[in-house]
Amino acid sequence: MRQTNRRHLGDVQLAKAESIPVALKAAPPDAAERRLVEAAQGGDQEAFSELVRLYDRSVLRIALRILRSPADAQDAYQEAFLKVYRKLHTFRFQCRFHTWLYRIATNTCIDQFRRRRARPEFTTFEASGSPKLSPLDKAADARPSSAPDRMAGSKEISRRIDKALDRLSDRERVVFALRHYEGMRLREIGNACSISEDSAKQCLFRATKKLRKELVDVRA
Amino acid sequence: MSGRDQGAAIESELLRQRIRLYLYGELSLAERDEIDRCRQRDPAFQSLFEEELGFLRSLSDVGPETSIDIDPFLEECRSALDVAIAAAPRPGQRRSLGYRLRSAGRAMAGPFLARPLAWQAGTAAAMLAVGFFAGRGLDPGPPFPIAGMDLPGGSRVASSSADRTLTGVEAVQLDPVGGQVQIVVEERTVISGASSDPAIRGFLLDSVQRSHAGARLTSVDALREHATESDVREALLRTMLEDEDLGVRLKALEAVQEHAGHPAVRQALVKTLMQDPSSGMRVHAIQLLREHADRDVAGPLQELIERESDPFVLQESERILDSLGASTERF
Repeated sequence: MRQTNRRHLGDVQLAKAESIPVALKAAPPDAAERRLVEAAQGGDQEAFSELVRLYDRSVLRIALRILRSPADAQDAYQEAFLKVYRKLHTFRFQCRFHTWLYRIATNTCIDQFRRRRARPEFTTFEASGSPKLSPLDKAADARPSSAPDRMAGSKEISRRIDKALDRLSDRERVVFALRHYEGMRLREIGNACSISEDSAKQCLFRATKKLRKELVDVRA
Repeated sequence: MSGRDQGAAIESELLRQRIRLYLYGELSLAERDEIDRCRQRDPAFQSLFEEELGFLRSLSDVGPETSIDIDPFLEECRSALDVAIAAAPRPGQRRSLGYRLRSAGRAMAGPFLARPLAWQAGTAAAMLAVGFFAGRGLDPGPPFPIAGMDLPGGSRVASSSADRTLTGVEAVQLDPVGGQVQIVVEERTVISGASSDPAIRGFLLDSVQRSHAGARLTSVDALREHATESDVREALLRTMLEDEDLGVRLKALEAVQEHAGHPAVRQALVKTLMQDPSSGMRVHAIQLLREHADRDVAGPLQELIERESDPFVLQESERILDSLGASTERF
């Protein structure tokens, strides 16, 4: 797996001083999406590929955010799209296709996370005693503004955020990742997670409260 | 923590929640204005706001982002997915009506397409000529029967036939090197046959979901006599529950009414009672349920009478519950 030092701060930085941007690619118009889905349902492989390419970047990013392991994210990506491929004929346009897709993707990620947690080799920071370094920890920060001490600080903060995220429930972690890092609206998150918008909101509140408690001394 | 401290902590958390919703762009314009006014008026609130902003920024700036370069990684994932899809069995999908029609067209054109390339230009010219004469209002020729044609999934239209009419030439492309001509033609295909024919049945099952309301209605009618078969019954029940057109839903309900004793039908009737916005549908459903009432409908009916607005449905529900010895209250 190729890794570089690049970070995707552009996706998550506050675009203006006081707002968090929507990072997900805008969905195509409903009619265009519907035509593609119908063609794919009719067995048109090209149409299916086009659907994959419309949304797979978002799906992969979601998987990376939730699972925080490239190998697991790739597994989840593949599993999610294979499920879509097998089940596309059952899709009845009761919601937008991408809502359906994100629901499958987030559920796949949650399942993957649970399976991973059940594996004996999977250890959290708590269990291992020593920090399990994420790819970010292992990589040097290539930003021009970085300095060794700042970099070390960032890594430490990143490690602590990782640890704090690990302590969230599956649902809280998913909701937080989708809202904070992927910029999805709470309504969309609710749809993707099969919960109400209000539940998604409460989930987000719980997640941020827990994170704040864990990271009380962390400031950018 | 004293009661006052606890109250202050709760208030602080509630304010933070509002601020987070503001920062995530989840508030309405009026709510945003209110937050902005508070920030200007109240330094303590502004301080809380900045603290929350700093906290969320800290999560963004040094958050647990993977260091993967997304583009090559995405390409790698796509390649692996392509291989996995190629190896995966074809999904157990029902072909769409459009796909079936295109396949029917391809099957009909098979003898032409199977010929060597040299013949294709000639065929194209002939088709152009047909299009030309069709455009001049001349009859392009007799119907083209396709009895015995192959359809996707290996089924054959044994007793049906298709009339094929060119409706226009969409595009003509010339290959200056190879000298070939590619013509994209529009055509209309009329297929006829008995509804018991598996191929025709396949078209009807697609049509019941995908065509316009009139065709859906007629398709439901045509499928009615096959409602004993599970795939047909399933399609009819889905139509009864999901079709946007009331007439089609009613027709589907009528199509399954003789099978109201079947558990799947009874279950769908209960769903209709619970969710269909049309009182006509609900009246029809409750009448059928009355004839085939079972203990399993008691719970939903108890739930229904708490919110049902139609007096007839309400009365019938109470009557069924009474006949089942069930209470009209829900505990």
